[in-house]
Amino acid sequence: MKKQIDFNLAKEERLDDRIRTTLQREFPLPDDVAEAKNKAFAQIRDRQAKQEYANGVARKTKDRRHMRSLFVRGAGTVAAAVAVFSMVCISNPALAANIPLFGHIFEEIGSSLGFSGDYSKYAQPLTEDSALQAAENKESEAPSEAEQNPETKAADSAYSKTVNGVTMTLSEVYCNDAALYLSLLIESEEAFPETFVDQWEKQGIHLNESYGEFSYNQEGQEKIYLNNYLDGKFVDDHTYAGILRIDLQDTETAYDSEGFEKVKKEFAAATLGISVEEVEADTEAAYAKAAEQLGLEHFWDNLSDVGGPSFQDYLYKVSIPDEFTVKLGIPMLVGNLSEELQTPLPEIPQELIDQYNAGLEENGMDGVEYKDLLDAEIYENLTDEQREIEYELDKEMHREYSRLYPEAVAYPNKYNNWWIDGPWDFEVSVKKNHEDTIVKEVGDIDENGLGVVSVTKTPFEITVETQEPDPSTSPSGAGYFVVALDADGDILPYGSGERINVWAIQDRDISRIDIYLCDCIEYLDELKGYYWSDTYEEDKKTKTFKQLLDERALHHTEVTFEK
Amino acid sequence: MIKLVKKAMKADTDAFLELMERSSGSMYKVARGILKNDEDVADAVQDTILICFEKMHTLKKPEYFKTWLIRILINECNQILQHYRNLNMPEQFPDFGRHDASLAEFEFKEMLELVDEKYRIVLVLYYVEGFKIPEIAGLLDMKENTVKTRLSRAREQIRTAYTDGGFSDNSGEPKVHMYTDSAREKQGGDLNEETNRFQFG
Repeated sequence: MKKQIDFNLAKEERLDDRIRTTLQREFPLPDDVAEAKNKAFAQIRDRQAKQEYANGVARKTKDRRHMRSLFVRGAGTVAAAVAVFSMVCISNPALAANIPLFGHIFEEIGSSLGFSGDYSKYAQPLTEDSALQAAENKESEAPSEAEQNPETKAADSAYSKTVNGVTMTLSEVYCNDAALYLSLLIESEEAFPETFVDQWEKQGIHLNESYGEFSYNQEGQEKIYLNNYLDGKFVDDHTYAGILRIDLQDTETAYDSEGFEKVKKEFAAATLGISVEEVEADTEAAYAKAAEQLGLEHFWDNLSDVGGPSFQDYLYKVSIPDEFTVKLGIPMLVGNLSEELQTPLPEIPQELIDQYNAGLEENGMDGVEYKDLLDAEIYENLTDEQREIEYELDKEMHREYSRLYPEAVAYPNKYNNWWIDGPWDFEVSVKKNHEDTIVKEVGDIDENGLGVVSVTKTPFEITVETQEPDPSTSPSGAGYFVVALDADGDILPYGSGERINVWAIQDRDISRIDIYLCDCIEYLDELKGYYWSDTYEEDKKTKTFKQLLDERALHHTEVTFEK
Repeated sequence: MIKLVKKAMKADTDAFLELMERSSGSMYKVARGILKNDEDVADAVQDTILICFEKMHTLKKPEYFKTWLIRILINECNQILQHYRNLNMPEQFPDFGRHDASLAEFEFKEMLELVDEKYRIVLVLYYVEGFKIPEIAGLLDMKENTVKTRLSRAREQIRTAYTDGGFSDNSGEPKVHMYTDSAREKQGGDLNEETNRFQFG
């Protein structure tokens, strides 16, 4: 019997291997696809040429400092005395008051954020009282990962956790209808390594794989990985102060998969004249049979065409209550090393380069070697066929390289990053603040079903809810793009948010905003370039961007707000 | 790859194009798991590259790049399918490959042909892209159990096809080399063992 099982297992493995080998084997792109890819590349290069000005990037330069031992994976030991000092400072309110930033992060750095403004006017301090309230709402449950972690200090308070020598403290909270903002102070026993500063002067620091569990989420959808946005700055070598922005839109769309599956089964049963139990006995077979009977290719989301349920009806918006709790999990803190501290990845072994060169020679490219092809001019002189061969050889070389140096292709890695393992877990009671939030139910929809449903203005952001018909109905067939102009006719900034229908107000005059819906391709390829061109200041004397959009946009809505 | 992603995130166009170049094989296979012909795949890949370029700044973490890219691509493919549905047209006409296609390409397409259309994308995401079941469920907005079922049925269909051909021995190779034979038949050419490409004439 055991032999039979072993034989079957071996057969399964062979089947798996066969499938994997067949599907993974690489081949050149079919001509149609290669041509389409090249067209896309050409369009991008064209756009790049038009936007060369954007490359004038200013980067902060700092003195090079040495990376400390703390900032590598697995380094969990810290100087105990220093750890206690830091922990006490932050968790003891009396001492914490001596730290100027504690409780004042919104006030200190709010004005320099992407979604900038005076958050301190709206924020609430996170105190032990609010933690108690959160605890009351908390059901009895198993201890969190952080609570079980021996590196987590016993004296942690509800909003301050120390793990591996790094203390994270939440001190203020603000939540409006668009986003939840939490101020975050990160303190390290050892100096943070010098961290990369991007072209927008933002330091590359991430709360890697952080997630939130919101009390209003449905069962089975508790953990939502956050497209969170951490914006802030290092106030000294040991301290980072930032504001964590969590877009609530990420948490409010849910899909009732069980509900849809249930009505699908009922519809299949009715179609076939059998019971739901019989459908459940072999669902796939029943669905296939029902589809055949209904003249459908599949038994899924086009069921509504034949009188069945619609998938869309089971997507629903979760109503976010005015008060809720969120459990925030931060498994790892990662920073991008400054360019000075980045170290080169391991060099490609000579053996791999020799194989690559031999491949070139075997394919008739005598006299050309790997190092030669790093020169763009030499590469440009290759024929298409030679480039294809080179591409395959290069891919093979990189595959081997990844096998030899998996740590070099991982994230984070020691060549480009510093990181500290957590987790830092928090539970926060949140109460929405509707102050200075205006919701305008615009309902300006044209006969094609295209238009603006509503506009929400909070103190810091503007969110536009649009209604768009199927993308195929747009002139290019690629869909629609929403653009918002301030009262001066300038494009509103995104504020480094994740959503293309959310703009930062910053210091713009938004007493009136103009919302345009354009053809996606026309806007991206043509219209946008007009605004961002080097000559726009001159061009706008003849025609402003707003005038161009008035002529070319497919829909326009004007919304006014009191100053 | 991560370094390239990071460079691309810092608005390095050359890095972005290189990233897309290296991802193009994956994009093709994933799109082919949903769409039936290369013409539609070409449209989906082209649109995906342009959208990714436009939205690259919204990608906050390099390690999410692959999932992010695949999600955009799947969305583009679904829009193409939806387009056919809206026009009340039968979905795309399947194509059977090019006359200069490599054996690997033929085998890839032939293996997909062995399984029902709805199972193909699951097969590609699992075996080619190496996504885990929960990740595939997230990408395709379906329950993990559905993914498991589809994967299992896809394997079953491939196994059946192999078994019909019969296992020649314990090597796991089918007795009948269906891919090579049928590919040659469709091509009307012979396989050049050295180049692994079909020759004519």
